[in-house]
Amino acid sequence: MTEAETPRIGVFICHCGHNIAGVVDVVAVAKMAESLPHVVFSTDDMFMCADAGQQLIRDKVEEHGLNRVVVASCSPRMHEPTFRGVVEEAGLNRYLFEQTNLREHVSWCHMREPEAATEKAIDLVQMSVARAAKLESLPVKSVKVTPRTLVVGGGITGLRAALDIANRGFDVVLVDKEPKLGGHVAKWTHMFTGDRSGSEVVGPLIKEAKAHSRIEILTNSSVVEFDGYIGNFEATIENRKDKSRSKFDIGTVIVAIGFDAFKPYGYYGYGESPDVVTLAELQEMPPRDRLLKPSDGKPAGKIAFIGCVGSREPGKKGHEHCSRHCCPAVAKAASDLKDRLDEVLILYKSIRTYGRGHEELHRLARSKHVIYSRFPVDEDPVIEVVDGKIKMGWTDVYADEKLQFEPDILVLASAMVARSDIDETTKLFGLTRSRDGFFNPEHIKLAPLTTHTAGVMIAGSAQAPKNASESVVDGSGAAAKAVGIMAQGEVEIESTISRVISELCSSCHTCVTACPYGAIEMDESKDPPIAFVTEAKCHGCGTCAAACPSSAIIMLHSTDDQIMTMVQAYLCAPPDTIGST
Amino acid sequence: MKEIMLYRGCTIPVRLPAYEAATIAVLGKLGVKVVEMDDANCCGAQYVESVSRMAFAAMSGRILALAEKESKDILALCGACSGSLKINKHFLDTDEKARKEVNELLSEEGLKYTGKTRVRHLLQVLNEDIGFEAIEKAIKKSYKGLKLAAHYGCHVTRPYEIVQVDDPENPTIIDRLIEIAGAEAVDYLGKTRCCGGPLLAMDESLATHIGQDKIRNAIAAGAQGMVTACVFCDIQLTQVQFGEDTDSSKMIPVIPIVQFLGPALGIKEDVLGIELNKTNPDIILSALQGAK
Amino acid sequence: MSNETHTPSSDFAKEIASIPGGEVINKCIQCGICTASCVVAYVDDQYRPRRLIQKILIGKRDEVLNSDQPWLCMTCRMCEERCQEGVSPAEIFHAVRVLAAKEGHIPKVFQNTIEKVLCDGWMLADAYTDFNEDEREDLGLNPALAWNDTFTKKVKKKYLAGEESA
Repeated sequence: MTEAETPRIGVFICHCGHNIAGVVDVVAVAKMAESLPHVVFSTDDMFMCADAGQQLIRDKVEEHGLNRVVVASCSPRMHEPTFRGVVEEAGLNRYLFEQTNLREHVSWCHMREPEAATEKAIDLVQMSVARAAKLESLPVKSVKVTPRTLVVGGGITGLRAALDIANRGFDVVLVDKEPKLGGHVAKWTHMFTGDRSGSEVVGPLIKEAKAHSRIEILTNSSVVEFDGYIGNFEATIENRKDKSRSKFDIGTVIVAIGFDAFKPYGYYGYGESPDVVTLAELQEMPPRDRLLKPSDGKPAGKIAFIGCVGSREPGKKGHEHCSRHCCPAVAKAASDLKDRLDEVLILYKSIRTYGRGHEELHRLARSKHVIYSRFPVDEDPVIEVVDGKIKMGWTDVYADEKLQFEPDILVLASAMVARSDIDETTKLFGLTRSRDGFFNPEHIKLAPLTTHTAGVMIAGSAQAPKNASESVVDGSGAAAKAVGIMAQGEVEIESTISRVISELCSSCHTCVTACPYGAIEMDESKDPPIAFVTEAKCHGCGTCAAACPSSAIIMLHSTDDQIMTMVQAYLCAPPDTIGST
Repeated sequence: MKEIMLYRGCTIPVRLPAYEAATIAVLGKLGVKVVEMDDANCCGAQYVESVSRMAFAAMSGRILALAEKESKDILALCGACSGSLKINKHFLDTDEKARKEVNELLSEEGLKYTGKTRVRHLLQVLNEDIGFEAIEKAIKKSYKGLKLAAHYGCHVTRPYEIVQVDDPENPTIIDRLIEIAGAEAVDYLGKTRCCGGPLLAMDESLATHIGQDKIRNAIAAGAQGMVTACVFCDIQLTQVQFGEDTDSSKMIPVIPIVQFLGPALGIKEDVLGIELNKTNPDIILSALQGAK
Repeated sequence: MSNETHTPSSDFAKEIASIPGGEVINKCIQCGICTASCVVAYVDDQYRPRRLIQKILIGKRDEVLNSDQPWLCMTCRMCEERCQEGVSPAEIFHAVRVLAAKEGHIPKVFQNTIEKVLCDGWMLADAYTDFNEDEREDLGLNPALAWNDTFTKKVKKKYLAGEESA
């Protein structure tokens, strides 16, 4: 779609205080721009993003009847949304705005070469002006958002998220494949910090969720089909017992499927004796006055813990990471149990009691005469089960001694790993995972709970190993993200997306395979089928356009014409402009 | 004149009497009269300390009681004595049971410790009771062009919570006194490290190594002499420079703070006993100018 | 490292914790700052306060009580000054010395000096000669030192009677 009118371009060169003007001769650049094709107004200004600068744009658009605006300033990552907003206020479509980066790409990286920098600035502005002439307005579209969240996983994370969302006035569908809610936490007798049991902690959440009018709970169930795009998903949930299915319209999703407690067969005698257990298994033992041996039910007198079992193993995929929760959990378990036992040993590679209240747990354990013994990084303890007895041998690094011990129970703090069925969930929701097996967030620092699939959030130990308190933080965070989308009732989708020129499409399906977002599919209602873009799913990455052998796909706002004109402006600049070679 | 009771300890009378004489002279000049303690006993540092807490408390406790009888504070010149007396004072002040037990022993002589007496190390008396301002006013002659390193001693400054003499990681009292007297105080590697003295009993060669290291570090920082505030440290840092494998050309004078301040305050050298010093103090004394 | 294998036990640490000076031994987290600050460790590469404390924590009673190591500490307290957890290795070693002495493990030099001090009332009675007396007089000091040996004998009788042996 082309604009019938002639481009009338306004060029605004920003000083950015001293940031750009200190290196680039902005006045000269603005002067040069006056003579560029289609430029009817050109000026320089101290701070384009400030109120005065913004007003300048609005004023000049009106005064000169501008229909394209070029601002040469900082990176679009800083202020593109700002200037697009200003241009819209002035009555123009926001996509008729072009930003040239004279700061990060010129003044900041060519600080000591002002002349060459100015030349580069001139070239870049020429290119931007040429492109601006080719820009077209694009429709700004929004889609409605269904006010319902699908929470996958009814553990402590899912419960917290569900309650937060429901209390905010939105509907929740809470799915869990187990018969009961509460995940791992519900089964544990000792939590840290604090002295309440897992069921005491998560019980109230379950009660509240069950009673909440906005939360629909489906246990013994899993999501089997999932389709759509942000605000407009459709999920099919199947009951694993009776195979009945229900369909739901969903606006946002939170994936909080939790973790698996690694069962370390082959490590330290696990599986060779019932008295060698994991920390998770210890936590699941029913609370009693005395700690009893699983093998013969007799009371235990001495126990040992070994840390980092199945964690921190370089080169072993899925087991290279630190499982984070174990060091404080072991300290707490050891202090709780020491009162009823003669001797408690903790064999460790490191002591990572990093969080609030954790170091205090470490000190508490030591004050009760729990013995901490460090073993070498490259020499694991040797455990043999002989005649039902657990024989341990290791080197204590700090005492420089070879030690041996025969505990009644050996507890292995084994790794928190990704769930065994995480592959299915990953595919279902279009997520990705990293080498450690856990879900990838959209941005590791700045967007830890959202993903590259808009509208789908991740939270809890499925996102990365963490303890229950940290999982709850995730749950609330993801809930806030979901509510943020749903509360507006609608969400804007990208306008800078791909578009298929149906006449040119040869039905080869290459684009369908290429698209990382599943945003392009074949419209079977046509014969032959034509490629068709679901605009709300498209991120405008351009992969389909590049892959299409028939050149049947164009990228809006980055058309071949718009890009080539920039190249021509640089290489074949009109002879009477400054800066041409 | 303010009065303070001197606890000389075991070492001074035999190994360094000049320190005692110089202290009496200098403090007298600065307005503090030093009186003798009669009938004293060893404070129990290092040796008795290692085998019985209560024996240690009793021995130091008696010294505290002797001073309390005369209503005087105690002046300690030896670092180990200062440390012992302070630590035991703290112990007896805070542990009622221990205090009762010690007082029972002392009662046979008519002595009692109730906590009134204070233990002052020489540096405390100079810094707190007399004060830098008064000392500066009393300086008659100044040193010039002289670089000195300060050695404080471990038992003088640590453990800080109990002894409270000077900053344990960055002490400055001796350094300030050096500067007040006109010389330049140099900082050097391992300034707060031990002189090695306490290790002499168990391993003489290791102890000597430690002391020699200290001297080496001071020399490397440009110091021309070392000023001490503990009789044991002074003796140790002196004698490690006289070993078989030492280079006599690389010796520096080691001098107690009072022998250093004395000449600047106009006190005659023979009163201070400087001629008895084993290391040659000429380089220090020759830096003393006329009237300041 | 000895060649025999030891079975860890918390009993010895509990014992040390009951002796004045050893109370907070369990606060030690084995960070090593004491050893890094120790002047003796600096010159003697076998002397390691951290290692000695871990040996106590794992219960190597015989080795620790028979060792020279606790007696090498100069009590300079640099470790105490630097320890972040409020532990004083110097004080812990004091506690070890008290226990070791009680069981008859005490270096000769300590034994002898203690005997002397308690007998004479002070440490250098033997070394105080006429020469020293003259020196004191020349300096204007009182040559009569007036040390008291009655009290120290009382102290010996009450607290250190059992130390005669070894």
